[in-house]
Amino acid sequence: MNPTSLLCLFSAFCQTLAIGLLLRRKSTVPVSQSTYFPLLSALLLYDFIVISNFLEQSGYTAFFDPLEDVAEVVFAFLFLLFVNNWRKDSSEARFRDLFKLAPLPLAEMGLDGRIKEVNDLLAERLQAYFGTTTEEIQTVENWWSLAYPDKGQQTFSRSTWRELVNHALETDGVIAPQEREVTCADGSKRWNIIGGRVVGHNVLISFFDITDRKRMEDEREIFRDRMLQSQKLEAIGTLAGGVAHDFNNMLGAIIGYSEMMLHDLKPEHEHYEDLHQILDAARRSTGLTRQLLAFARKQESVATVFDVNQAIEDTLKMMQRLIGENVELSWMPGEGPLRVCLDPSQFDQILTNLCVNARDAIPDVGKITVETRQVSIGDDYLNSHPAGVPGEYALISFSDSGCGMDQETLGHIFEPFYTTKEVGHGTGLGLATVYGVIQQNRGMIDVYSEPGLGTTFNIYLPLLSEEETEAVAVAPKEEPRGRGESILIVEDNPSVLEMSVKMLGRLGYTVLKAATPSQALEVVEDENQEIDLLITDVVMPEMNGRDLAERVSRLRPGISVLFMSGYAANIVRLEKDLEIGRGFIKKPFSLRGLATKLREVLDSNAS
Amino acid sequence: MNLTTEFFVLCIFLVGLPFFYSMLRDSGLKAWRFFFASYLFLALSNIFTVIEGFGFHDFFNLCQHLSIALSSQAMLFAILQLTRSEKTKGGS
Repeated sequence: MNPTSLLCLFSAFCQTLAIGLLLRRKSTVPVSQSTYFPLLSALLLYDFIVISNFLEQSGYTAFFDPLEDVAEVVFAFLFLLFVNNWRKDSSEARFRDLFKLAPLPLAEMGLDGRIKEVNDLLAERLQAYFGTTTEEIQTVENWWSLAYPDKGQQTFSRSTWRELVNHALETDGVIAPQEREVTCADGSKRWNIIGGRVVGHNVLISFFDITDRKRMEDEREIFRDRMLQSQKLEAIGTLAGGVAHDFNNMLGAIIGYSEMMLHDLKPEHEHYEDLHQILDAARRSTGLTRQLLAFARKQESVATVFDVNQAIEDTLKMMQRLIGENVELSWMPGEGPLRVCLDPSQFDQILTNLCVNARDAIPDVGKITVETRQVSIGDDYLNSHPAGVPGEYALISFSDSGCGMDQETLGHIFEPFYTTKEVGHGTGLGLATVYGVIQQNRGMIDVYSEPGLGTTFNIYLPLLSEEETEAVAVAPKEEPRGRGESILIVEDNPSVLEMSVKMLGRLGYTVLKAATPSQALEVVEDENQEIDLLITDVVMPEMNGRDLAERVSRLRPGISVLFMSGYAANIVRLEKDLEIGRGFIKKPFSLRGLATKLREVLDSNAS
Repeated sequence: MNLTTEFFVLCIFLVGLPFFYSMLRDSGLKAWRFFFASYLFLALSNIFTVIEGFGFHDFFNLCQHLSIALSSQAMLFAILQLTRSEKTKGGS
């Protein structure tokens, strides 16, 4: 046998062995039939070629020789076909791997709506949403009926989806991502971004759950709105407070002079009645400024510890009279006592304003429910109430079955002078006052309303422990007079200063006056001048009343001090800091009020 | 064998060579080099087949069959590797 024949024999041996291997280990070759058979066929042909060569080289007439060239061409073709199909198999396998491993729920659906495959994540998601297995969702129709129990929504979603798929088929195959709200088996709603791509005769669909993100966006939106609302109200409050303060000073002068003139005039005097009317109008005007100051959180107050349940109990009769007989008042006190610290008159202001609003919201017959209970406020709640502090609160829930409000109205209700009532039926200061009082007392307020269903105001006031002391303001009944004491009064407003000087003189005091703190200090530095009490405004240019009092006290130890202001932003704190021999009076003040306060301060210092 | 036919077959093999190379290289087959070697030696054998018609018949005939033998051996190695180590590749 020549070397060529040996080589042919070796080649035939190799090919036969390769064929044998391929046949024997068919199951271990991870390829599809369309890849396996071209390879097997190519090897058989190759074997045929080398055997034909061997026969030729061994001296036999080459029976297959004419077919050899054709066989080689076919072999090349089959070999190429094998490689090509292998590539397809590999690509398909990579896709399957990605489909399974993708960190996103995916489904493969035929264009006929049949769901061919879902990955593990989607299977878990379907189980969580609908409590179903993938076998139960065979077609996209099953999905519509599960995800959208409402028929209208189902039809809409179906038609929208078809439009999207058709559009994708006509264009680049991409199904634009859509945000969809899916209803779960337990009735809860989940938001998903559903998008996809048409690949051949299939649609690859992805589901991305964005419920948490949506929730956070909503919370952020609410937080932002509340912040804006809070800032807006703060700005309005500053403006309103400033106006009310100046107006208060003017009212103080009007009331003071009117009182003194009335005191001097006999009732038979022709101007006596006119003057009385001026005084009444001025006193009524102080109510308006008081409300504005309450909104601006600059209302002077005497904080007192009281039980919310008891306070509401005491005002029930008044509330029932206010709302009339057609409206039922339901009172549901929570377990008490619920002790809070604020001015009881401010608390009455809250109840009265809410009561009046509820009554006006009920067109005919209806119900108002007042409920209280103790609640713990945590960080979750405070996410949407940036100004709040965690802790125990007394919740006063004030609900009515009235006409309710839309979102637009809700956004404005706490603004001063905003009203939905007819002209002449409301000043628009009621809820603004409520808001201001609650803010001033470190509370929070929430309002829920639906047009046609009613409104609920939830008021949260910080609870006090039993150990908190009770502050009680006692109002004197007499109009005590001076006993020859000497008083230095410091006030930057000339009208108020003059009026106060006259009042003090009328009450029998020796009066020294100063228009500025520096003038006052000059008077105090004069050692020959006897001074028993200093009356000072709190807010003044150069120096505030507090600092002036400190300097005067250093020069004249033991001197009594009476602060006066209509603009005491931190009045509660100021009252707490008042020592013996010091007092505070709000502006505008009456002759009787001033006399009483002066006596109270002077006597406390003397004792 | 008809020289024209042999030349035609050679042309087909040579034209297919770059396509075959690029397809194999991107196929992800671990045994792609053996497959390519098998194809390459087969193409080489066709070259020797054509040349042997012009002279040195015995020598080029030997070269031709040597090429075929090497091609067969490369194919055997490719199949061996395919049946052993491609289990994790591809899918059916």
